[in-house]
Amino acid sequence: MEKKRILLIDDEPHVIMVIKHFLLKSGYEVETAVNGLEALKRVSQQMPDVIVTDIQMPKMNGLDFCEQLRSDYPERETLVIIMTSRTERDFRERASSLENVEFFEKPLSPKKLVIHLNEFFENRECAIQDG
Amino acid sequence: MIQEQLSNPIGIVLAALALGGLALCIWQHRQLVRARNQIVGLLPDTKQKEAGSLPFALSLLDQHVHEKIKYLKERRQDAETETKALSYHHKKLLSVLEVFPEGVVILDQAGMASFANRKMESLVGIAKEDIVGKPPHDWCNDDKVLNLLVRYEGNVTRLRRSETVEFSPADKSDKTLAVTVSPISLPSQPDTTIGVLILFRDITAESMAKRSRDDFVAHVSHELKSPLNVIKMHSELLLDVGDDPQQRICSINVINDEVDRVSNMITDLLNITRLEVGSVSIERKRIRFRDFVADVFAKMQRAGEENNLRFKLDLPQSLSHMSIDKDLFRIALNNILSNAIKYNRPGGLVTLEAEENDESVILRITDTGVGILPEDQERIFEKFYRSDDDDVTSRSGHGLGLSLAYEIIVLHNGQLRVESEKGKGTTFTIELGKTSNLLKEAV
Repeated sequence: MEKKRILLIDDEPHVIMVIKHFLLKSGYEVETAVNGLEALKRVSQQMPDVIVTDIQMPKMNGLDFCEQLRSDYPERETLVIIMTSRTERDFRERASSLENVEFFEKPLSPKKLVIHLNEFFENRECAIQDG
Repeated sequence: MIQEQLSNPIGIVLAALALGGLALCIWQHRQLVRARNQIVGLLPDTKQKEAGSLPFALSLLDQHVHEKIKYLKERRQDAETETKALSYHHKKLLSVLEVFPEGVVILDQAGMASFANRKMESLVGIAKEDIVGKPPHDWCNDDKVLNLLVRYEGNVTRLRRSETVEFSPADKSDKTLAVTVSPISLPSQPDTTIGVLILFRDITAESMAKRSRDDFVAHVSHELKSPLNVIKMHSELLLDVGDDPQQRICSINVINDEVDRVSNMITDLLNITRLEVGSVSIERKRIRFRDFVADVFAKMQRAGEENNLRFKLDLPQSLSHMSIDKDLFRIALNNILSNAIKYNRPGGLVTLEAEENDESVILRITDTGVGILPEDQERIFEKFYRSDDDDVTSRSGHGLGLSLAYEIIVLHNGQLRVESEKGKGTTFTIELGKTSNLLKEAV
């Protein structure tokens, strides 16, 4: 079966390094970007199966990236997982207007993230087979 | 004999007249008795027994009427005095409302504005003349406030308890106002609303303080969770990599660095918070300033030489003794020097120079590092501010060090300035006044 592609966006190299380690070990193909702008370039080359992004990044933050992604590709509903430490109301309100977005609170367990992705793809495969 | 008289016509007439006269007398007497009784009836109960004949009753009535007139005159005077007093109190109350620091509008029972003070003009931008005598929808130009006020238009009795909304006036969007609507009732009838008191209060400062506190908490939680996130990641990695010694050492080093980062941040945060709330009292001591600066520099130099940097200390032969809080000033100087090290390039130079004139002692910390963009120079002393510049984001930091240095130097009545050219380097200048120093010491 073809490997699932994950786009990982974070300006913290340690986060990228560790999550990438766990994703590669679980058989995923991983692409990385250090901010939203770089991520949009990666997406334009090939749309990943799932995007995992941080919020606070220079040049283009995670929320602006999500909004741009949905505006550029309205027909694609790629799952975006946002890694966040923010709990303010305005952030939640803004993010909740986006569809197909999930949140992972920091400090984040990379193992739990991988388990969540495995379940997501399993459920999607089942849905396709049932459909 | 009588028969003779009766047979005499004159006698008959005389007899008739006599009878008529008698009847008239009786009728008159009755009239007089009735009149007297009526007069007696007008007298108070205590006087009724005293009233004998009609003239006496009339005299009593006259006396009674005079007393009554006198009493009524006195009552009128009392009433006039009371009216004047009430009018005075009314005007006094209106004067108090007029000089109230808050905008005041009073709606009467029909929901019309019966009073508005001058403050309404400066606070909300509506003159009192445009409010008084009109219902809220004629003068209120904010939808949110109007929605609250129109509910009571024509029927203020609907209002049972106070309600408050916040809004920004149309032409003063930088201001935040709170409008509180409260029922007015008489003490004798607390359940009956006879009007509405509307208070407009400027809460700009309060809401800014609240916003900045919320931002501060959000920043702190983010800044704390970021290093904790990295620690969590590497601790899971450590459990996963097995015996790979290189990876184990790498992860342990990262965890160690991140723990230091959290610890330094908490220390800075506590210091900055204590300084801001004024719970830290500055403990000045007169010290040999030259020795102090040289000591701080030497310690930072030892730490910075590992980064392949050069250091130059250029102090005059002698510097005046200065009266400073050594512990706080060391934090300020350390933070500026560690920035000069962190944002330098390999092989770069960190210089600390000092000079002195009649008024002040000046320290200059210069690096040959990445420099600061002009737009960032304006905000560099703000709490948590970090530039989006790649040269900044590629280095770890929490945006508190310079803010803390600034607070400490200001606390010493000094100044901290920055000059920088992107790509060439940065100079931080600390200027400490000698006079204020001495004055402060004298105090």
